Amino acid sequence: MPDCLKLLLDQKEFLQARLGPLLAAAGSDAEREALRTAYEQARANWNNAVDKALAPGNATADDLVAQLQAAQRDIEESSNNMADVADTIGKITTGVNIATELVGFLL
Amino acid sequence: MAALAISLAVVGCLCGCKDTPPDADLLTQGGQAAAVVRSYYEALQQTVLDSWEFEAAFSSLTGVAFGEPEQAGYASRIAALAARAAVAQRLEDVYSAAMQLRSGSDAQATAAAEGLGNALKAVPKYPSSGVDPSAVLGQATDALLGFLRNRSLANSNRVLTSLLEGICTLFTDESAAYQSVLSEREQSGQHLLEILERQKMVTATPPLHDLAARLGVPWNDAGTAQPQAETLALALTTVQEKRAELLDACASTETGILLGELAARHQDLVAGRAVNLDNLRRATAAANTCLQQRALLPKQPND
Repeated sequence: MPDCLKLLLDQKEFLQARLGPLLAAAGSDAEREALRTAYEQARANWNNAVDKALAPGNATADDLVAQLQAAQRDIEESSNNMADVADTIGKITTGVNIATELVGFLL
Repeated sequence: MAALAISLAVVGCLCGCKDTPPDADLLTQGGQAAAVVRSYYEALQQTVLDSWEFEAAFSSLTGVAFGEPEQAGYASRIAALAARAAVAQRLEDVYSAAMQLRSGSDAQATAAAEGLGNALKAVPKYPSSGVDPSAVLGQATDALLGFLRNRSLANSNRVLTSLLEGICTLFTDESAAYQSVLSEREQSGQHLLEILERQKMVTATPPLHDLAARLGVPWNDAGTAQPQAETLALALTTVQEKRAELLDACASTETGILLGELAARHQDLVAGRAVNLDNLRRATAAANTCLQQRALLPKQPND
């Protein structure tokens, strides 16, 4: 499932590119920890997907891919507005959780 | 399914088949193609090493955990790619051995055949492929060894064809993972460079020195305001990332094509068809050129 690999890499690299500014904008240690945890999980999701066999696409996986694409759009829109860091962190966490569910389902 | 097909081919051949042995042109071209495949897998190992380094630095700078599980993941990925490079190396040896058989010497042929057998049996299941290499490659190996030991070049061709089909299947099934690994290195290098520059840990000017050098003039650090230099350098780095992506994609595509061509030309021989090596030569040269040009690009973010 090449699209799945690309989607997971896109999420990891998107978070990596913005982690520095987001950490700087975060208002508390808890927010910074949530951001680091989200990046670590996104990285693990991509690593797991690259290193394990991916199952062929099916309806459930396709649905999760669609959810992940929507969540990623949410994250991108939200991260453009750095004023509400808490909202951005919430959307990042949601997106990474969907990605984790997708990888868990496929492996 | 691939293992079954190979098994049937091997059994069919063991029952006795009259093949045409490969001529010197195909053996020479096959050896060159195998060398390019080996170079491709060696470059991929270097790519994973770069990513490992970039990720460790990025994690350290941002306070992200980078522990034993992550490091072990990179190490096992490198080992899996090294095993594939070893198979390609052994394939080179087999072509060389077959040339020796044509000229009457068989000591090298036997050694090469045994080396290939050992390498093929040792290939771990990489990754993101649903293909188990031992199932695809293992069964035909013994038959190939036997034929080469008996100096039966014609019969070896049929088994070699099956092996090439297996290697080709493996490459095709894993190509999305290869591409993802290559893409990850480019993006991670760019992101690390950005964070290093934000923290004033590196100077932005080396890409500008490179640009000036390509124009045949020396770069003058004093002539540009620092913010402008940084903006320009980052833009140039982005272009370099795109250049690397294009060359990576070219190397992957052409290596896949050359493997398919190589298998197809051996199939032509098995089927008694005329063998035309033009496309194999073109793909081998193209893959080699892309790999060489990619190796000349500076490695972000160190250079």
